[in-house]
Amino acid sequence: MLFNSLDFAVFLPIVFVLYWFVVNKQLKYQNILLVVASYVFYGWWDWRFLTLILFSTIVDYAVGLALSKQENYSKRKILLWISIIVNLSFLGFFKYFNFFVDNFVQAFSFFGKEIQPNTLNIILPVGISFYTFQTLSYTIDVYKRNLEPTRNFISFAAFVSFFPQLVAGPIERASNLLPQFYIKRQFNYNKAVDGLRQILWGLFKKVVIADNCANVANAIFEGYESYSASTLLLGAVFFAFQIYGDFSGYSDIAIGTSRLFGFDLKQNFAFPYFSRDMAEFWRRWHISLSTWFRDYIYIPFGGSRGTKRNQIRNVFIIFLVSGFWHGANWTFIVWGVLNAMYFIPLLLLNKNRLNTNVVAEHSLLPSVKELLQMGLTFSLTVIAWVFFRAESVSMALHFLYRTANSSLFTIPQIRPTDLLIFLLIFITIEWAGRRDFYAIERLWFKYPKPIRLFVYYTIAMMIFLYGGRTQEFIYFQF
Amino acid sequence: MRRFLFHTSLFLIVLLASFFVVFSMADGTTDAFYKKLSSPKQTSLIVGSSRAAQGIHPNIIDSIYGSNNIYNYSFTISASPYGKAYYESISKKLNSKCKNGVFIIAVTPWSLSENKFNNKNGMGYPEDYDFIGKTNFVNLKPNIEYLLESFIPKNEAIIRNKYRKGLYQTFYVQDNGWLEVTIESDMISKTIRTKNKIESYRNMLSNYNGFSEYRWNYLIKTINLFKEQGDVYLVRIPVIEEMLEIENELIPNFDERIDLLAKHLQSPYINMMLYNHDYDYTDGNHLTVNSGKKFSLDLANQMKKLKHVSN
Repeated sequence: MLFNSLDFAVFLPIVFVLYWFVVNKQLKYQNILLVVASYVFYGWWDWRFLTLILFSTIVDYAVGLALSKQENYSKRKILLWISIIVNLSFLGFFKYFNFFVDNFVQAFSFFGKEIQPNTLNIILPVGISFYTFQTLSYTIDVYKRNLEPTRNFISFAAFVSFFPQLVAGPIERASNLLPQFYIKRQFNYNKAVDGLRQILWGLFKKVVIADNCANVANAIFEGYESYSASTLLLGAVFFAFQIYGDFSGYSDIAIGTSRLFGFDLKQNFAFPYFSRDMAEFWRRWHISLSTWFRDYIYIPFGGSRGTKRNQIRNVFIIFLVSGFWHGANWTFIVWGVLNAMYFIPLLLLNKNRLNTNVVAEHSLLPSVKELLQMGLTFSLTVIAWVFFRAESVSMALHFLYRTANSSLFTIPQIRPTDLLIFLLIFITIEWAGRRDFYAIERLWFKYPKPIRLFVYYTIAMMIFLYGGRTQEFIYFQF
Repeated sequence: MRRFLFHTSLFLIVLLASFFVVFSMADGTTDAFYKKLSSPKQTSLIVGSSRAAQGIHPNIIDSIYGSNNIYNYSFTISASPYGKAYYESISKKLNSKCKNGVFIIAVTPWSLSENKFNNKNGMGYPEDYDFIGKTNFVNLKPNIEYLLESFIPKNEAIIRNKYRKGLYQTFYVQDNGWLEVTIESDMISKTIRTKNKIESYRNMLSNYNGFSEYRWNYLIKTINLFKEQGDVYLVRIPVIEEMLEIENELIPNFDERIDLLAKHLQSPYINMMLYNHDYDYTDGNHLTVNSGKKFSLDLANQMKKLKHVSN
């Protein structure tokens, strides 16, 4: 079920009413309802893959319980590996099987050996990368004794399948989300209103910004060989906004929906395009995944401790894995490598933690220096996004090559004026709200309520008027 | 909680009312189909593809033949070839209480042939998944089902399109269902369009298997449905020679088949293709507005003659 669909517009109020009016007396029933609702939400797409979620849930629940009873170090490690292997096997099979087979065949054909590949027609279960990482975080934390294993299967099942963030994150840590299933949720007016506000902003980002940028970006990327350099640049910039609007929009809707049910999820995007360097960008982009990699891969490998060589190795590992996590294609791997190359100079010069505050925190506008820094960071990001969006590495290289000629200084062949105005409004609102959890969290609080309501009404009308046909979220494929 | 529900409901009511206002603005400028799917049930119908949608003027048929508000319920060859989806849509559009209706069924080889990829793996026909198959309510105004499910452009187009009537390359669906297309009429534009159209239809030919038993059976069902409620005329709308050649390749003995069927079901077949040199076309496939008027006049006269003969 898509957040931006009619199905969800019907589903959400039904679950909301049942949750607060029918099963509100007992925690157990609240959690059961959330499990049922989450399975319906997921099964709406393809009910067969519910078995995967259920199996992961049972395995990790059992491993968690076994870990709580086991003191022997080796046996604890075996239990941990059972969880890791089971979860990553599913992920590996569904997401990477064909990739490995194809590359294996290509590698052999390079040496003159022709192999008839046996690739499978595999459907990638929506959100598998997200819930796999979420449930893995539980077993790893229990193994490390950072978290008490749960003995409540319903709560655990609700944690693994919690529908607002099941298919595209944020990837919640068990230590943050699971304990929230142990306490009966009480309705909080302000929290619910805030949730609605964030859903509204998320929908605006997705429907008005991302989907409209997608139309232009898709047209330019698909016909890139016939466009001028300036048009290609425009296409790459639109894709940058498409992916931001799409993914951060989804996160906003997920977080807002969770708040309607009394849950607090962590911030997943913190205005990344206002970053002054790539290190800051990665602290602000897809935070739940970046911190997951940081805590479960980067730090265990030594993180930024040890020799410079080790530090570089660790950065490469984390970005390679991040690229590979996004998809079984060399484009994502190159995207990861490119980001590692952006990051390493900052690490080597000890400048990776220079910008930890909000840009222009105490002023209305950024300084010239900050503006240049943001411009440079955004440009580097856009270059990397070209690899992310392209069908192949050669296409990305060709695309970038074509942007480097004199036609870069001509007027683009495609000039979507409406969209450029939307983007300008969008960037202005995001800038104005950059100190908050999400852009419109408190943006118009100083104005009287009727004015605020009118603004929200205008946003809702823009979603209605400028939203095209329901389009899937990009991150569903990851 | 009560406060939350009250405030949220109030906001949603205002919002939904605004959506409704925008949807209510949808009309013949919205797209080439909306108006037809939001008009009331009809007693007399013109059915077929875009040739009929643009080429048959209901008001001319009414004035010459004497039909009572015949309605043009034709769409396109991809959306409304004869089949289950179109048949059901027609049935819903028809006011079954009236028994003295007039029905014009436009036939072309395209609307009676099957795409090679049609019904592959028993998944149904393309039109089953198009607006004609998806729209259950065809007489509602505003037709929210159509606007939500099948209207492809953004909703702002409902408002924006209202101001483009009369501009070049626009369309407007009149109250009687006739699709008025405004398009450049200079010789160069016409020649280019005709060349492109012939090329695209020639390419399309390779995707078709030719005569379809399925579509044929639904044509018969459609004729029988109409016959219960009035006079039925099968009509072939003219096209240019090059287009006719392609159609002859698609179903070589098309006219003979229709002739036989017409005799069998006792519904006259008016083959206007024989007079194709008398008319002017926007692209070799669709009649110009003026030729459409002339064609409708000629057709209505033929229908009238046949009516007198049968009486």
